[in-house]
Amino acid sequence: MQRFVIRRLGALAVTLLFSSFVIYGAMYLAPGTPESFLVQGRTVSPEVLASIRAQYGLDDPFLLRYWHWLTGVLTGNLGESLTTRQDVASLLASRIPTTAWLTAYAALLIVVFGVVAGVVAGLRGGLLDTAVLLGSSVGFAIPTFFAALLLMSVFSVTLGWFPVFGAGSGFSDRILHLTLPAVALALPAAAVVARITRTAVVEERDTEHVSVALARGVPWRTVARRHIVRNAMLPVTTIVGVNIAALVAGATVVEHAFTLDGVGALLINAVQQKDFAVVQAVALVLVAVFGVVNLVIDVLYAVIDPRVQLGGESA
Amino acid sequence: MKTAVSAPAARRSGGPAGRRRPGGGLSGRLGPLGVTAVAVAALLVLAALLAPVLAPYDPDIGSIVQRYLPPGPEHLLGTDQSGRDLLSRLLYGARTSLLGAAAVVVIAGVGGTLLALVATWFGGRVDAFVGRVLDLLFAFPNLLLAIIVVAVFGTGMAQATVALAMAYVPYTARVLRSVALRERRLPYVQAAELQGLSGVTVSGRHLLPNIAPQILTGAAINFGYAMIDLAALSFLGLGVQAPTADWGLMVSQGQDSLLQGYPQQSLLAGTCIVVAVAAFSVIGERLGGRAAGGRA
Amino acid sequence: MSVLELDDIRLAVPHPSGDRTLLRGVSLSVAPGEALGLVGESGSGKSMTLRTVLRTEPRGAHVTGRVLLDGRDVRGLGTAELRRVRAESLAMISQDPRAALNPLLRVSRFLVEGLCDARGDDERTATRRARDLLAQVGIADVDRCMNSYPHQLSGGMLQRVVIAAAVAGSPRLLLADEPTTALDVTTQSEVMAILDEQRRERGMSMIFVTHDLELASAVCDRIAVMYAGEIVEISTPERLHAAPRHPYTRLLLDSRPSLTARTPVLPVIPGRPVAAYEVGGGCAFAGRCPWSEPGCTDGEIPLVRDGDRAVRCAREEELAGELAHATGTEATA
Repeated sequence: MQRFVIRRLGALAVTLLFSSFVIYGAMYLAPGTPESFLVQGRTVSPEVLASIRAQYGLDDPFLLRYWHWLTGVLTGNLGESLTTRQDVASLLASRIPTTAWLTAYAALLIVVFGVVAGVVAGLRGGLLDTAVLLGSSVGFAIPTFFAALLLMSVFSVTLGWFPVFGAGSGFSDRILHLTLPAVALALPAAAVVARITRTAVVEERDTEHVSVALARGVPWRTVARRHIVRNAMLPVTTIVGVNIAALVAGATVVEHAFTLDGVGALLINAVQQKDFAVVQAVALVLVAVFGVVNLVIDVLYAVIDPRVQLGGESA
Repeated sequence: MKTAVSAPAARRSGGPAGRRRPGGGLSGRLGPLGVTAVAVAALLVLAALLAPVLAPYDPDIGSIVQRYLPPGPEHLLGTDQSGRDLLSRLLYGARTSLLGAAAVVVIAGVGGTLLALVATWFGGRVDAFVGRVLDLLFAFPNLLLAIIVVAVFGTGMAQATVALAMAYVPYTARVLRSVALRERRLPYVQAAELQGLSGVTVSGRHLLPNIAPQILTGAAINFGYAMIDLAALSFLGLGVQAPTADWGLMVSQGQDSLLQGYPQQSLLAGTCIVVAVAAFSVIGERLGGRAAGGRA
Repeated sequence: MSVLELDDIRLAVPHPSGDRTLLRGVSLSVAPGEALGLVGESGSGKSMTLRTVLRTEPRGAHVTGRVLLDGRDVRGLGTAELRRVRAESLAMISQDPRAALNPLLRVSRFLVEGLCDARGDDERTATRRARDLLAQVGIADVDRCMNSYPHQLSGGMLQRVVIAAAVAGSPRLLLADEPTTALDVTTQSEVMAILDEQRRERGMSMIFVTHDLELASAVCDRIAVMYAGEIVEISTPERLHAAPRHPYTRLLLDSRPSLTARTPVLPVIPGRPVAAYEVGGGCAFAGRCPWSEPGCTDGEIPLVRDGDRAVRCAREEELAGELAHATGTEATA
């Protein structure tokens, strides 16, 4: 198991290295020069321009600049915002709590509502099953941002139960502020998870080992728990993982809708202002988190399924 | 004494083996829900095409004194914060939204197909290289990849469309590659190759027609995703720019009005997106694909 | 009293074009300690008959008739009673052991589950018993086997595990559904021997389903031949071989490859197997029967009992002499 995790970490490091190159290269190729952006349309003398270019190392060859940036990143120096001159690392650090709370909350909702609804629908069938199927079809078709507005309109504006904007501080206040955003963020994913969980449970219910267990006189509750739900969790783990990993990017939309000061909002601002130092850093961090979540899911999968060859020697 | 009749002859003589299953046609495959979805989709496309004829007003011009009018005989669905006719904007918005999603699907489809065919045909190192590039792209969440591309090329409908198409290519390419690879190994393709036909000819004449169903199914499924993601980019201010009418942008522009108690614009535009996405994903699902795992 | 008594079991499953009959009135009985072979082509209803005993028939199936286990009708039991009967009186061994075990659980869990969760034994006693049983079915490294996941064991090993689990509670009746078909030829006889030995030691009754008449003859006290959802002949293996009374049995015997004599062309039963729902009036086998007469397709032909043997053929008495001889020479002409 240890070797498996170490190998996967190594692969992740390589992926991140290539990703950093792609991200940095993309920004390098973008039309428009950074210094024209730095001077913000003011007329400046060629000498000033030259000093700016020297200060930011803009005359260095691409690979050297990439190397400087990369070594900076590895030592925790993510550079400096082109617009505000703030340290990107501390800027990012101030934004992380909101996004972390939001995505964790949404992930919890996906697991609780998506998986539970799917399991109940798959085991019970009947009306409940139809309701879950219908609900998941609708939930899937509602875009996150539209769900955000609907929730805001009903629960904040009309009923006044939840605050409209802001992320709140302290635990209970945070929960109160982040409930609607988290529900909006979790909705489409929970819909997909519920549907796939249901299918997995129904398929598992029809397997021979389940009917064998029942024919041996094992009680239905034990069979449902130990044989049906447990085995159905294999595909469900994957699908839950994919959807939770995707929250990393999806949070952007919800943060924008609820004007939350999260990492995604920072990214969108930076993109609109062409603040590439921030875009690069945020993109790299998001890719890293995405990779780590996916790795955790893979490890989890290997723990649940004894058939996974951890050594990776055989297919 | 009768001698043993050979089994196949006996089998041919009777029995239900040759009976056709009921409902083999396209409408049979779609089912009632699928047929409804096709009708809804057709209606939306028709509305988009005929927008100039159907729209009672210019979608971009309004009068500030006519803002926030409720639905009435003058303005069937009311007006927005700038006094523009909402029905007209929805009709024109259908053009932008559907065209954008279609463009994403077509570009991603063509790009994915080409990558899949090249990887399949050359195999070996080319295949491995394509695989590595796809793996690298899979390291990025879909939406993040699109945002990065927009960051590089700037905001706007065209940029957002291309950005999203690029984010979709890896998924399309991966699915099609596995299908094309299976086809490539079949004897008739090998035979065509041995006859000395060029790679382009074999790929075009044999591989392409055989992976076409998968290309179409994938496109139908992706259409719904593309609509949502494109609308999300417009909502973030990275896609379609004002004053162009677009459903995603209309939801976003309606946000302030909604908080002030005029929810029509956001509600109507959002409902249009939901209906369109639902219709296209039902079609995609019925055409033989299963709903893809999730959108990253 | 017999351990099991099936009385006119009929079964139909729903189908878009109307219900489809799979069993057309199966009646049989199994005495204490007796092994009954159920032989027939695939689709003849052998496995379905077993499933009506366990009540694991397909969802939505309509079943009529009585299944008396020690005089109690299994078909009428409530959920809790059915569970107890399944846990204590019946045990099933299916064709593919790999499908029978949950791939995510260890072998020990599978064995203990049947004693613990099903019968209410305590965990420690159950574990000890499971280990004993594994040793009894010829597994050398009991520890390794207990801790293995199904994918780590061979098919033969797994089927031994299944046999151990089946005999664990000393049930009254074993239901074995082609227990060796999915195994390698080399392990088939080994597994069969272990099953036979375990059953005899505990004095359990068994219904043994197979399409292999030879194998059934070797391990069973009596054999019931099934065709198109009904029993056409019941007899002891010896008499069945020496003098079959039903044309279908005769042809089944003739179509086996002989291990000693070389036959130039193997005789084939003419026509294709008929499904139970395709049968009209009269004898189901009439369409393929070389001895059929116009009268064979009229009315219902009863299973006529004669001591411990029974046959369902309209021309039974006329053909008795003729069927005693193989048709091989003529069929190959």
